[in-house]
Amino acid sequence: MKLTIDNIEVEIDEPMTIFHAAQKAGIDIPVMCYKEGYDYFTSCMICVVKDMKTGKTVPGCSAQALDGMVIETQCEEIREARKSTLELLLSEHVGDCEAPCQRLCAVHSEIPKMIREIKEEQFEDAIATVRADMAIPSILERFCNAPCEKGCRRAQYDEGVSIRHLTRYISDWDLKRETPYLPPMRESTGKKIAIVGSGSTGLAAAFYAAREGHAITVFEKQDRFGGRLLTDDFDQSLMEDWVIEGELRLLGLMGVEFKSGQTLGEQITLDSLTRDFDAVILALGPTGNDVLETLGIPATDKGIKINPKTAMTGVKGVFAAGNLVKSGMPILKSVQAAKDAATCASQFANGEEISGIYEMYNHMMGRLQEGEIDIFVSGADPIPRLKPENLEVEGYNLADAKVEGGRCMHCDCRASHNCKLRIYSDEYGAKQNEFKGEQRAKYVHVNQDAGAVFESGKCIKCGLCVQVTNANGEPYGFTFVGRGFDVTAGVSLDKTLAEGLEQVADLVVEACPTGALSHNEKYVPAYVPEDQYQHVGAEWSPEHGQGTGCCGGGGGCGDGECGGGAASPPAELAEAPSK
Amino acid sequence: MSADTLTAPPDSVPAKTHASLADAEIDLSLVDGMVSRIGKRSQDLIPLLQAIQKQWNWLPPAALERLAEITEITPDAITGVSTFYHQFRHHPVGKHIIKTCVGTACHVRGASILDETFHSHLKIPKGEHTSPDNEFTCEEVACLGCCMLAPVVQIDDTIYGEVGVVGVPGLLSDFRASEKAKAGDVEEDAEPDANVVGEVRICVCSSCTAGGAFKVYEELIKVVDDMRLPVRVKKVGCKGASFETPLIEVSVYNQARHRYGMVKPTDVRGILLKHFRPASWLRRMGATAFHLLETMLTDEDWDPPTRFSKDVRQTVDERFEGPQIRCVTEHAGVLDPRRIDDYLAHDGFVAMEKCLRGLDPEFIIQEMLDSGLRGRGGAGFPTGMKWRFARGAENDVKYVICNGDEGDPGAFMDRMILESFPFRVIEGMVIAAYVIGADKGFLYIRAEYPLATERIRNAIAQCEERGYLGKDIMGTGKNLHLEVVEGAGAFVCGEETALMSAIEGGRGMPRFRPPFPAQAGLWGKPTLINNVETFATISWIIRNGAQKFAAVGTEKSKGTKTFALAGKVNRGGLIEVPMGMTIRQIVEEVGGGIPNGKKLKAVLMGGPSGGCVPEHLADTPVDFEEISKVGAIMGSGGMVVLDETDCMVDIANYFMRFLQDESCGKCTHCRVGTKRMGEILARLCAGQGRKGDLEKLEALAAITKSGSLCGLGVTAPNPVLSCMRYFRDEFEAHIAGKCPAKKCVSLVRYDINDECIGCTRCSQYCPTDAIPMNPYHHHVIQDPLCTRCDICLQVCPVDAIHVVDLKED
Repeated sequence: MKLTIDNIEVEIDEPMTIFHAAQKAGIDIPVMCYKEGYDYFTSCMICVVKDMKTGKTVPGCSAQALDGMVIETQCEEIREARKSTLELLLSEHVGDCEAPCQRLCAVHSEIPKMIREIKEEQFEDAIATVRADMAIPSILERFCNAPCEKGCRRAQYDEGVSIRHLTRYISDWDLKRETPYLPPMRESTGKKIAIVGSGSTGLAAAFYAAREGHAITVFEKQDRFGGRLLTDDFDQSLMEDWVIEGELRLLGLMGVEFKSGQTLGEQITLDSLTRDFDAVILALGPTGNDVLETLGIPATDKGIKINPKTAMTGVKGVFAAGNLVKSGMPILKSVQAAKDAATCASQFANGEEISGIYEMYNHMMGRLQEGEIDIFVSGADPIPRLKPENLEVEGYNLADAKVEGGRCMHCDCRASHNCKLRIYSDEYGAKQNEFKGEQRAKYVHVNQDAGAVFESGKCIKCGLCVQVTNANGEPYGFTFVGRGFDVTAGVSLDKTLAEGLEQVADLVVEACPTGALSHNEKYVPAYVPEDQYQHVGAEWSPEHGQGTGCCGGGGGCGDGECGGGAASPPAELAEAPSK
Repeated sequence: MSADTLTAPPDSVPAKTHASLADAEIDLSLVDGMVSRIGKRSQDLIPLLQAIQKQWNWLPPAALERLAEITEITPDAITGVSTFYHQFRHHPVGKHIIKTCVGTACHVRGASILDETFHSHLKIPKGEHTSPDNEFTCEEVACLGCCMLAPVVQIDDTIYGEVGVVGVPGLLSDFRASEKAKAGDVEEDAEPDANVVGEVRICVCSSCTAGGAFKVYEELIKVVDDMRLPVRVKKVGCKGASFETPLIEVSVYNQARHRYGMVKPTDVRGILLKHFRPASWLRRMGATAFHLLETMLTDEDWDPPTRFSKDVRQTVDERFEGPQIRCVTEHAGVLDPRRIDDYLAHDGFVAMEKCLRGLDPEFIIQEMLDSGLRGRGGAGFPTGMKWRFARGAENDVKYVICNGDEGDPGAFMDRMILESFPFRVIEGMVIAAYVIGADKGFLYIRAEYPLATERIRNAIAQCEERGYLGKDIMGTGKNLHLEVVEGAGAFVCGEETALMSAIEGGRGMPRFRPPFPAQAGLWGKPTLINNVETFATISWIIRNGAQKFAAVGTEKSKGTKTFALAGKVNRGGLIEVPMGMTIRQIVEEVGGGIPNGKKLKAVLMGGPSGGCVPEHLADTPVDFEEISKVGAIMGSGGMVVLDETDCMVDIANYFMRFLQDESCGKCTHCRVGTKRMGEILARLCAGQGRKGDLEKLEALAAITKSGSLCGLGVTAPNPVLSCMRYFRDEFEAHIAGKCPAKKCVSLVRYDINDECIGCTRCSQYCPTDAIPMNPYHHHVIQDPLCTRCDICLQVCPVDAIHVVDLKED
C-alpha cells in the first residue's frame, strides 16, 4: 500500500494507522490520548489530519492508512483545528504550569525546583537550576527586591518563603567552591559581542551572551570591575570581596574577556566597536543626555531611546540596558534588561530575526478560591518563616535552608517540562482564555501517601491511566467516574489513591500526558528501611557539616571548604519545628 | 495530607442527611443471589446493578464491593459503569421517587418549574433532593415518552399527565391516598368466552395510563364483573390519539364501533349499559340500585355519559386519522399487543414464514432496496445496503440488534411501537437475522420504558413457546434467540457503537468508526443494528411488496414515517404519515392546529440533534433531504410544535443543557464545547449576555461539529445554529436584556392590571406570599418576592395578571 503524507510517499506492507504510517515517513503527528503499546481511544482529537481526497479531518491516531490516501498533517486548517482543541482543553484546565514566584521573577528563575533540590541536598542540580536563568546570583540575591516573595502563595497563609536567601545560599555555596558550576554553553558561533560597562547590567549581559557561544569582551573605564556595585549605592557590608571576585572568576571560566581603563569616547568609540564586533551592548549605568550626545548615541529628553522589543538603540547593532536606559532601576530589573539585551544582541549577531526571549505557554489558574490555600499548605511544612539573627549578613546555613525550603508548597506543576498539553499549546499558539468558562473548577490535589500525586483538574480524560492500571493488573486501579463535562478519572470503588496505585504508579505517571498524575516526591516506597530514609527538613548531624557545607553535593566532607559559612548549633535546630 | 477523597461530589450533601440510611447494614447474601440468578460475566454488570438498585433503591458501596469479589467483573468496570448511567444512584433516597419529566414537550408546557414546586411543597432544603421525612426524593428525567400529556410526572410506578404547578398539592395527596394506577399488565384478563357479544378496547400504554386510562380499565373490569356483562375488556395497542386519552372503543360484534374519548371512571358504567345488557333484569336492577347507593355514599357527581359519547368526537378523530397511512402501526387500536394469537389473526408472521420458507436473502435485500426503506433512527441510511454489508461480512457468529434506546426528549414512537406492536418488531428482526445469517439478537430498550420491556419480553416468551423464535423457527431449521437488554439512562447509547458497548456491559462511550458494526460490532463480530421502527416496517413490505411501499412518498424518501406529534398542538399523539406530506399539513390537518388561537412559530424536529423549521418554511415536505436543507433533520420522529409564546433562545438553551448532561465526556469538543455553549446560552436567558457571545457561540458550534467522534457531538450544535439562523433577532434581543416571547424568567416580571376584581385568589395561591391579600382591592405583586412560578396567572379568573418586560424601554 502506498499513501502520501505531507507530500512524502510512504509505503506500508501491513495495516496500520495514519499515525504509524506518518512515523515511518519521519512525520510526527501530535498525540495525547494515544500511547504506543496501548489501544487508541480517540478522545483528545489533537491528532487530527486532513484526508485531502475526501476533504474530511480524521483522527490520525485511530484512522487506518489506506492505499492511495493523500494526507496533510500541518496545513492551516489542521493547525487551527488543533489550536481550538487545545483551547477547549485549556478552558477546563485547573493548575499553574509555573509557580507564581517564577512568574514574578524578572529573570524567570525556576525557584520551586531549586528549593526542592536544596532540600534534597542536590546542590549541583540546584545551582544549575539557578544559573539556567539567573546571572550573578550571589550579587543579585544580596540586593534583590524579591517580588517572588511577595507573590509567593505561602504569603496568603503566613509569610512568603524566604526565596532570596535560599537562592543566595546555593549561589554562595557554589561560588565558594574551587571550581564553580559552569553553565552549559553553546558551541562557538565565531561571533563577537562587546559590552561596555561592568556593573550589574554589564556583568549579567556578559553571562547571558557568553552562554550563546559568542566571544565576549567587557570594557570598563575604571581599573576595577564591578561598576556601581563597588560604590555606596550598594551596601558594601554585604559585598565581601569573594562575591564579586567569584562572579568574575566564573565569567572568566566562561571565556569572557575583561578590559579595564576603556572609556567610551576615548579608548573605544561606537564606531570602533561596531566595526570590530558583531553586536554591542551598552551598560554604562546612569548617564546624562549631554554625555550620550557627545558619544553619538541617539537620545531624547527622557534619555537614551531603545526599541522596547529589540533593546536596540538608534544605531544598528548597538543595544542598551540597565540604568543607562532608565535610571533608578532595582538591580533585578537591570539583570532582566541585560538578559533581554543579550538575547537580542545574540540574535542580531547570528543574523537571526530579533524576537527577544521566548516565553513558553504558561497556564495560570489565577486567584485562589476559598479553601484552596489549605490544599497547598497541606503539602508543606506548617512552620513560620525562619529568620535567624544577622540573616542579611550571614545568610542561611544548610540546616536553615532545608527547614525553610520545607515551607515551599510546590505550586509549580510537576509536569511543567514534559506536559504534552503545555508543549502543544505552545507549539500551536493556543490561548488560555479563548473559550473561558463561567467558573473555574476547584483545584483538587490528592496526595494520600501514594506513589503519585493526582490533580484531577489537569486531567484531559484520555483514559491512559485506566488502560495502564487495567493492563497491569492493579487490583483497583483507575476508572472513569461520571460522565459529561464532569467526567473524571478516579480510583475504582472509591478507594484511596494509594490503594488504586499499589503496583504501577510509575507507569501511570509516565503515561499521563499532563500533570494530572505525577511523581510524589514525598512518597516513601515501602521497601526502603526507615533508617535509610531521611525526612526532609529535620536531619542534621555534625558529620554533615555546618552552614554552607559542601558535602551536601554528594561527595562527603573533606575538601576544606566545609564550614566556611556561619554555623548553627544543633540545639537551635532541634527547636525548629518540623513535621 | 490533602483532601481525602478524589473528588468532592457536588451531591454529597444529601448523602450526609441520610447517613443513617447509608450506614444501615445490608444483607449481602441478596447480592449473591442476584449473581447466581443473573450471571457473573462482564455483560451481566448492568442487569446486576439494576437488581441491586431495585433491592435498595440505590447502590450501597458494600454491595458493589461484593460484586467485585464474587464476579468476573473488575472494580473499574463497576465504578465506571455505575457512574456513567443516570439511572444509578450512589446515595440513598427517600421511600418514593418523584420523577419530573423534562422532555422537550414537557419543557415547552412549563415543566421547568414543576421540580421546583415539588421541592418547595415537600420542604426540601436547597441543594437537596429528599424530603426531611425521607418519604420523597425528587429527580428529573430526560423523557418519559408521554409527550402529548405534557407536563408529566411519575411517582414510583404511577404516571400523572398534564400536571400543572397549581395541581401539585392535589397530586401529592392523591398519591399519598395510595391511589394505585400502575401502568402495566398486572393481571391477565380471562380468556374470551363464547357468550360475549362484543368487546371494549382500551389502551393502557404508558401515555394513556398517564392520562388516567388505567383507572378506567380497572373500572371497566369491575363493572363488567359486577354486572356480568357479556363483554370482553381488551387491552389494545395504542391508536396514538393521545389528545383524547383515555380512549375506549366499544365494539358490539357485527355492529358499529363506538369510540369515547376522555373517559372518566365514573362514565364507565353509563357507557357500558348503553351498549350491553346484563344477563338478567334482576341483576340489572340490582346493579342500578347498588350504583345509586354507591353514588349517594361516595358523593361523586358524574356527568351523563352522553357528554362523552362522541359523535362529534368521531369526526374529529376521523380528521386525525384521515391523512394517515398505517404500515408500521397497522391495526392500531385493534391488535392486542399481549397475545400472539391476535397478532396471528392479523397477518402476523406471514412475512416471516414467507422469507424463512425459501425467499432468497439476496431477493429480500433487493426488496428492501426497491422499497426505498431508509433507516428510521434518523440518519436515513438505506436499510437494504446495511443488510448487504452485514450479510457480506464473513463470520460464524453474527448479531442483530434492535435499537430501542429512544433518547430524543420529545419523541415516543419507539415506545408506542414496542408497547403496541411487539410481535411486529420481532418479526422484522427474525427476517433481518435470516438475511444476514445471525442466530442471536438483542433488543436494547431504554430504561424509562418499563412497559415496552415487559411487553416485548412477553412477546418473546410467547413466540418461543409457539415456535416463532428460538430453535428451528416454524420448522424451517432457522434459529434466532432474542434477549432484551434494558438501558440504564444514557442518550448517547442510541449511537450504535455506544449501544454495543452498553450491551457488552461497559460505559456507553462511542468509538471511532471504521470499523463499522457490520465489520466488527458486538464483541467484535459483524452486527446489524436497526431502529425499532425500521424493523416494524419490514413485514408490511414483504407482505405488500416493495413497489407498494415505494409508491408512497417522495423521490428519495419512500413509504411512511411515524412521528410523535406534541407540543402546542390540538391533537397530538403517535401518527404515521406518508413521506412528502408537508409539516404544515401535519400540524394543521392531523394535529388540528395550535390551541388557544395562537400562531405557529416553529416545529422542532430531530430533537437535540435536529433543529427547527420556522413557520415560513412549514410547507417543507417530510423528506430526509428537504428537511436537512432547511437546517433540521428528519430524526427519529420527534415533532414538537411551538407557538408564539415560546422563546427560541430558551429552546436552544434547553437542548444544550440536555446535551451537556448526556455527552459521554470522551471527546474534547463535545465535552467542553457543549458546556461552553451551554454557559453562553444560560447567560443569554438570564439577561447577562455579552457583546460577542453570538459570534463565540458560532465559533464553538463549528469546532464542536468538526471535532466530535459520534453523532451526539457532531449534531449537538444543530439546535443552536438552527434557532440562530431563523431567530437571530431574538438572540440579539436577549443580549439587550429582553425576551420577546416573555418566557425567560430573569427578563420578565408579573404585573396585575386594572381588570383585578380583588378576589384574592392570586394571593391565596402564591407560594412565596409575594401578593398581599387585599379583598376587593387591586392586588399588587411584590416583585422581589416573586419567583415567576406562573401560578397567579393561571388561577386569576379575570386574566388580570400578565407578563411584562423587566427592562423598560
